[in-house]
Amino acid sequence: MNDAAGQQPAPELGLDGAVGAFADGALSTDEAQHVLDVLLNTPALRATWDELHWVGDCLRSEETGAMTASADFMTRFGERLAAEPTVLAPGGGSARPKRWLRYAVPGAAAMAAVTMVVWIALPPSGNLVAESDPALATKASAPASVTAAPAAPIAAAPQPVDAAQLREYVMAHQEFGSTGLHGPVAIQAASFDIAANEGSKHP
Amino acid sequence: MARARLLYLWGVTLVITAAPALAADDGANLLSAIQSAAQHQTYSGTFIYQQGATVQSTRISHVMDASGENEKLELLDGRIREFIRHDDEVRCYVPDRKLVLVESHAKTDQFPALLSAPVADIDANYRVTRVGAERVAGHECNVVSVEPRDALRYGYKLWTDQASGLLLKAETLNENGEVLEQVAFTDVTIGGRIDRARLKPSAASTDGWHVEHFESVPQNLQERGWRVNAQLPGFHQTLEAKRTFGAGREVGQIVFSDGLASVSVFVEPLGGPGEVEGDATKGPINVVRKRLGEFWLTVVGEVPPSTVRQFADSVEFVPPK
Repeated sequence: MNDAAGQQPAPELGLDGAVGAFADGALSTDEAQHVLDVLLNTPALRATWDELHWVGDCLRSEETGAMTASADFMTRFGERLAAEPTVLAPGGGSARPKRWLRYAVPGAAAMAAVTMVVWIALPPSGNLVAESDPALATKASAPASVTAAPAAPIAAAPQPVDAAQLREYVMAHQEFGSTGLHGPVAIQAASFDIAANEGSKHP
Repeated sequence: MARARLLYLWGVTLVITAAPALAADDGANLLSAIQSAAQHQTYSGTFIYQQGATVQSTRISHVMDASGENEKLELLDGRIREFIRHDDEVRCYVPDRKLVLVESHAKTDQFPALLSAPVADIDANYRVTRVGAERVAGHECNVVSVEPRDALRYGYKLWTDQASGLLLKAETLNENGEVLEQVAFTDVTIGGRIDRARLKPSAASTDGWHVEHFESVPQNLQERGWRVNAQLPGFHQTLEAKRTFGAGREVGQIVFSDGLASVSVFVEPLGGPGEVEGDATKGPINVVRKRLGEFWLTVVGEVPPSTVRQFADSVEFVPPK
């Protein structure tokens, strides 16, 4: 177990801000652990965390689509978005080919909604940690050959996979892919949360 | 009634006793029988899912009547969540948000069910044999080994109730026979009657709760230029869909399944968070992430790492004309 006392709380963000950064996976491992510790013991921050996910999962299709989140939260959320545009549209550049996405607009909301069933049904009740799980740690892989286009060089050093990031893919996979042999979708998703959290406690 | 049931039990026992080794094409039948039992039997109980140090408990109540299949799943750990299913419509009750999420075409292959549709070539990819009899949750079960015929997939061990055919326990095994995960009833009552009230939401009233309805619309990613060229025996494409992930990222998903194991290939434009090439493992789940030109691939499956890698390395994008 880590000793939380030795970790830095990202003081410049304030705790609400830190929760937001935590949700974005923008904090370091130590910072995230600290936020998690505080989060678990502070109901108001838990609410912020829940709302971030509520907004992210329900309303993400339109940034302005406020529904049930409180007005002042939406204000803060909007400010945070304005301050951190790269969180929503990082990298890529103008050459990014997005044509294939345009054909699919009607389905996008529907599929988002299906995903939401699991996300909202299984809010991260203190289990989600936006940091690496050693069990999920990547082994640095050499740039694999690519069929359609050359791969860009990648960093040689092993880097952790963000467990929270993987969780979206794993849940989406389990929703449409897994059979009953792997337990109900809800259980799998929950277990993945918990597993990620366990990993964070034993780095 | 009781006599008929006894006769039925005797018949089932006789068949099983007489055929300890299943015929070559009986795997498909056996797995279909598990699905059928899960759909048609009346049962209630508690099962646990275990993977690594994780244990999750769920209570289930299931009734088939003239209206169809009715099922209630209650998560017993963490926040209160109830999933009430009528055939393929699932209503998820979220009391702390006073919210009901309705999914009209949900998967119906969740434990103790197994397969949504019969898979004809299951026996080409797995060797299905009865390996013994054991007691699970107080019920005498047949133990069935589902052994992969190649290294592309994991094996399974299934415990089915001798009387009803219901799946009471399942293990996922790697090539060394180590258990990667398991799901098992700890207590189950099969047959009899279930009070209809037990299939309703636990909340005294859901008046005023917000109801959200969802429909999924498949997407043809092949038309958009995506090819998954891996020709792995037994794996067939089962779904193409469009998902929306965090921060509004649109992600394409193509699912392949051999009936028991499945792999999802996710494709999206570069620019998402955490784009680090590499692979990851958690219990039976393996993940490969890699860049493909201007796109990012994430391949996830309950299959060995090499299978996930083969899928990942076979993806190709040919811009549509």
